[in-house]
Amino acid sequence: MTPNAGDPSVPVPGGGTVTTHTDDAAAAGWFGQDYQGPNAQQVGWIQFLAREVEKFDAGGASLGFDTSEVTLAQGQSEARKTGTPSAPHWYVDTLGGALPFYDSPATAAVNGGTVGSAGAADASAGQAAMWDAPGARPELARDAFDTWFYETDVATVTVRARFVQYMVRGPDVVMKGGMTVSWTYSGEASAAAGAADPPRTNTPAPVAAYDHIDAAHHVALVRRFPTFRYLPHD
Amino acid sequence: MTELRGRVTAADAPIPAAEVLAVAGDALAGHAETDADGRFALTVTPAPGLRLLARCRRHAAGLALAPAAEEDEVALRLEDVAPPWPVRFTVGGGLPDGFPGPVLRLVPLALGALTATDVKWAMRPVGERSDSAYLSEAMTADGLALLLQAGRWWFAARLVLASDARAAGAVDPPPLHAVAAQLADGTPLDAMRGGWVLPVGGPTAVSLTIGER
Repeated sequence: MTPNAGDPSVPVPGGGTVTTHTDDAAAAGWFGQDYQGPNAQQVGWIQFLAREVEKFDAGGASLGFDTSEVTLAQGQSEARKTGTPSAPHWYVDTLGGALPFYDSPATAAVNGGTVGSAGAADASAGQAAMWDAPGARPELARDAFDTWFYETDVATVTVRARFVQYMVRGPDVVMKGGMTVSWTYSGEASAAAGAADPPRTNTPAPVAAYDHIDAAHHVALVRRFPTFRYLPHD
Repeated sequence: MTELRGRVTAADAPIPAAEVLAVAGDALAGHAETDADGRFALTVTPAPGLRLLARCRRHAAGLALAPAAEEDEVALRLEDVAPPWPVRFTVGGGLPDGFPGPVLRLVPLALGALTATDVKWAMRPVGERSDSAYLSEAMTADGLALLLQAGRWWFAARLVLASDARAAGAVDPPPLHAVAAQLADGTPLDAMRGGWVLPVGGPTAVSLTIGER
């Protein structure tokens, strides 16, 4: 992944900066959180994911959220349910088998993944960066368009992947950021098997100093990685 | 306004997280969710013909229906509409190494003696939820056991393993779908809307064949 020059950076308590890369320079859809500074080898990113599928009518009014979807992620054993903005279902998003950090390696071949595979990252003595480009999931949009005869016709469907990242240094949480990746399907044909994915839109949330993991994310963390319950949380 | 209380059960076992709808004609008067003991309370404006309908979507799946009664705790029993039966789904011929079972999606088409209008409430949007399936569950490699209310159910199954966290250079495997479905005695099920129609009137076993479409 090649970052765009000039992406915004913020200072990190204790030294260094975090740069949020909304899109990589090759326009391949990758986003990233990029710490550069001292003690980078003690820094890890933990990413959480919640998915939404929202339906809209021809006038653009929301018809609600499809909360009935269950998705499986390559290399991750936990099945994920779709939710709503007020009732999201959060999951740790890592291929890691023993550790929750984004670039931790898989320790077993689960869900079509391979041992040793890990989330894309740039790691060195002065850098700890994570990169992600989640799949579009057109099958979710396809289901949303496929209304039963007594339901209101669906004109567009937006599939969103909401990500929250925490930067952890040793036992401390030091930064929090976020990124929402969305795809809007217009008409049933746009989600048909074999159709090209619609353009993805990566929308960042401001990254800022933070000293704990939010309760909903901590529940998801402990569910999959119970030994990490010690991380500060509310 | 009046408060309605009640309990949702299947074979005397409480059903938690069931969605209880107060329905007056074609209008939704209120809704609530059952607690761990299957109990609920909701406040509604009294209306003639007010009924309570419970959408049960967990291990025991189906609809329970009863007239609303202000004085007593309303008993919403799944078996009063139609009994739930054990239904087991398995993947015949196995799965590729390291792959999980597919995700199964179900929608009720007919349940006991419920009218088509009542059954439609299973999929009616409520609040911010507008679901495309009544019940979705990830199967394991060993299959999936459910309790489905007697009637007819539509179902489909697929196995899509896209990346959430993505390794550099990772390519997602092609999606797999259930391409055939049959009962334990070999009877093929009728196809419908990219899935199949499953009649449930007793213990049932369904074998799925997974492949590329």
